[in-house]
Amino acid sequence: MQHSVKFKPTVSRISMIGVIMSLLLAVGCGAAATPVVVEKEVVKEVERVVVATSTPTPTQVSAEVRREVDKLVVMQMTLGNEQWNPKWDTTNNDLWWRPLHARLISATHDLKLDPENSIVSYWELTDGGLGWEFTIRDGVKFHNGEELNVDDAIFSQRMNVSEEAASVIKVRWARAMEQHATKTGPNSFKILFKEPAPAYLVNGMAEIEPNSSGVVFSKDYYESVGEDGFQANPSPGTAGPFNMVGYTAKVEVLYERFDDYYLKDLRPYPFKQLSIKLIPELSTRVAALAAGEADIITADLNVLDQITSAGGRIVMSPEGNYIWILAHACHNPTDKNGNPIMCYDKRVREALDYAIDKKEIQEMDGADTFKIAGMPTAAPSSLGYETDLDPYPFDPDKARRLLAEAGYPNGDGFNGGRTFNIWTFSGGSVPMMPELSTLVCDHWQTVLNIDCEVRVGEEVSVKGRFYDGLIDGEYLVRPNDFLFDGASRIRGGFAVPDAYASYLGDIEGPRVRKLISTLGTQEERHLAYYEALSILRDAHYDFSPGYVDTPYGVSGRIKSWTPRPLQSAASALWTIEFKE
Amino acid sequence: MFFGAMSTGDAALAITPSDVTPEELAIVRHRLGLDRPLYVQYGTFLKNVAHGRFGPSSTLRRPARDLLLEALPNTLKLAGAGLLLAIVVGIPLGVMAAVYRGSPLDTFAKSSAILGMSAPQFWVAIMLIMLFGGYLKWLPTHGMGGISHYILPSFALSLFILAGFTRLTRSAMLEVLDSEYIKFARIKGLNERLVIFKHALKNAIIPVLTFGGISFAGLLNGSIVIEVVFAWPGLGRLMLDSIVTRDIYVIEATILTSALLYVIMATLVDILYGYVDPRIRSV
Repeated sequence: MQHSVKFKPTVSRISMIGVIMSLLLAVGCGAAATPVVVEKEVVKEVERVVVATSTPTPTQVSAEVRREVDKLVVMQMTLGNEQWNPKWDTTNNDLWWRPLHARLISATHDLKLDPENSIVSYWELTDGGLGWEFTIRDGVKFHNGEELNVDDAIFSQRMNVSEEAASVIKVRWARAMEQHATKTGPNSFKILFKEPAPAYLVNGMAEIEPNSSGVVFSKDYYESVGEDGFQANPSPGTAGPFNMVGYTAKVEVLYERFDDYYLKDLRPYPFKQLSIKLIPELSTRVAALAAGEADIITADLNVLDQITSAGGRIVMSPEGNYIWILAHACHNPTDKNGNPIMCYDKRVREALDYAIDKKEIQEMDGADTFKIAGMPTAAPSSLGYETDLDPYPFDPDKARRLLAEAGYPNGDGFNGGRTFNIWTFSGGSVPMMPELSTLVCDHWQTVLNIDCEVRVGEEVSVKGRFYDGLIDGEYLVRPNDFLFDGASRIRGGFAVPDAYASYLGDIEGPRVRKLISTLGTQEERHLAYYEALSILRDAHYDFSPGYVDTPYGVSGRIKSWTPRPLQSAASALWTIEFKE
Repeated sequence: MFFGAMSTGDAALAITPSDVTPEELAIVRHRLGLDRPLYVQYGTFLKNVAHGRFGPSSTLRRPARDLLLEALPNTLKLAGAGLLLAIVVGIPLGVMAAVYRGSPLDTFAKSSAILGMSAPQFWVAIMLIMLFGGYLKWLPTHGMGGISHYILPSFALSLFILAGFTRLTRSAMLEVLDSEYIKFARIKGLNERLVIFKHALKNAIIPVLTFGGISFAGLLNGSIVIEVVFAWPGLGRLMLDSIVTRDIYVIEATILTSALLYVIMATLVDILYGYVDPRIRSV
């Protein structure tokens, strides 16, 4: 016989249950969403008078009372490789080190070099255009109070831009030098190149591009603590707007505002501390924004509703990434197996571009920021861009005609009857790549009657196939970040003999190389770049249907923020204004 | 494992720009030691492991062992909290469900157990964060810290085990409660609490113990999802980061460590099993 038990609600049992429930509630409510590192916000009203400069920018802070808060929390997906010595930095997403470091040349908000507000206050061409001579201004302080001088600039340049540097871009520049940074006067130094290198001002010295080439740090401090010491505690020897006061690897970097920052009047950061946190999962970042644990998060438009319902909104960082459509080995008529490579024929390349309905891409879910403008390497804000470099329009008749002229009327015989693959990878800076690739494939099938298939893989694996020549002639659809000065990328991609896409031939290749090496004013270089980009657009080895802005979720307490264009991370934080 | 890690792709491509030339790629590969023959790389790997080293992280430029030693305690803490939660909630719930069989409590326990075992871990984690962190603002949404930081991730991590404990304990208890010696104990007039917790549970706990031990090892290894969602700086997240960046030595270090932990836990369970069940000791 089974013995049955009935629950008897005795006083002791009820009391025990009540105690347990109370404990649970106490833990849950008493520890309400307060991360350990984030301090409680104390609102302070601070009088901040901004000194107007001679180079006003659209984001000039007005001379009014601006609310200041204790801490700004930014959440992003990566903290790069967390190397405070820029020699070892290889990453593009660079917000995590920018607050610490100063760059030799500053830029205005619309990406013009700004000598009046730079550490390098003056520069000029020397040695028949092969050299640059730079003059360092006085009065710039490191965080330890010492004054920056030309020896620091030389030391930093030699350390940073060297053949031992981790970044390929810096190795490239080091190899382009005839003579590295050398002192020429009490506050001047010179760099000599093997051939004219006008792009070095931007790529090697300025704060515009997403690399750490122009970073300057203290020679004395570095030599006193050594490489390991600098990595452990770089702050005293750096000159950026913030001191690093806390760092947990792969978790958080905590900064405190440096009130002797040489640009503090031009860039008055309205927060005393800056916390940059690594939070890989989007939902967590959104929840943190909703909970008040974050002020700025990297986001995407799929979570717009969640962000707005939490009192926040989306702010766009303009011209974030372009959609890049390219194939490998288009300069070869056949691949390794003897199969004809379709993109060898320029008419095929153009037909594929004309067959894409760019407007339909704009209508895709998650593509609300997609703009039909720009071209590979050149955004509307980039050097050399003009509107006639914009993507080819959707023209199905022209696409069919070009394909027929190439010998594949109605897609007959295209790719030898084999399936024409599009490769892409998911994740990364533009999450909708598989969907976009599918749309492109649909257009090619519908307009050109090509048997097309999308192959989605993991980023490094797909890139590996591409660079190893395993998918010669097949197209890769991927995102890529813009640059202001695309010389290095153009050179590396098209204009040197061993470039992966050195398809421009013996005439156009050297011509492009010469154009991107043009010396002169910014306007003269712009025209030269325009001509180089026009050649690339005409050759059509790669093309782009457009680009997307980078969305950031911002909390309800931020009234306004104006990120800079062409930045791979949250930028121009000094433009933030908090609500009253 | 070594060859598996190497087959995931070219580590040099993870840290070079899109316009890298073949020569530059060769330089990067040389720096990472990837241009050496595979058997040489494997030999170096074995030598490092034999000396308790795994080599340097190619991205963070620190010994992989140091990264491992920083991450492992965090994972152990989270897994320990998860196991504790599973034991404290799952076993009593299973006992009560068996004792009050057929009652609403039993129904609740069974349904919860089924849900707990079926719900995907990442979904549970995200829902918990959004509800308790983002919407109600009762608990932190991410990271390590005080006790409150442990509640959501340990619950999400241990839900499957908690459900398993509930079901196993309930089944085992039902079987034991029907046995003759339990009836005899009741007939003798022993206090019901004593019958359940001293006589019945002690015998019912044996299969639960086995499940718990192996599950703890599973918690250690299966924490990747939870650690990523909650931004918990543990072993799982280190492993995922290293796979994405093709940091080969760190991949190897984390996988080896996970495997070792599993073996250690399985061994401990075997030893404990013998201690708890005298019948095993005497065999």
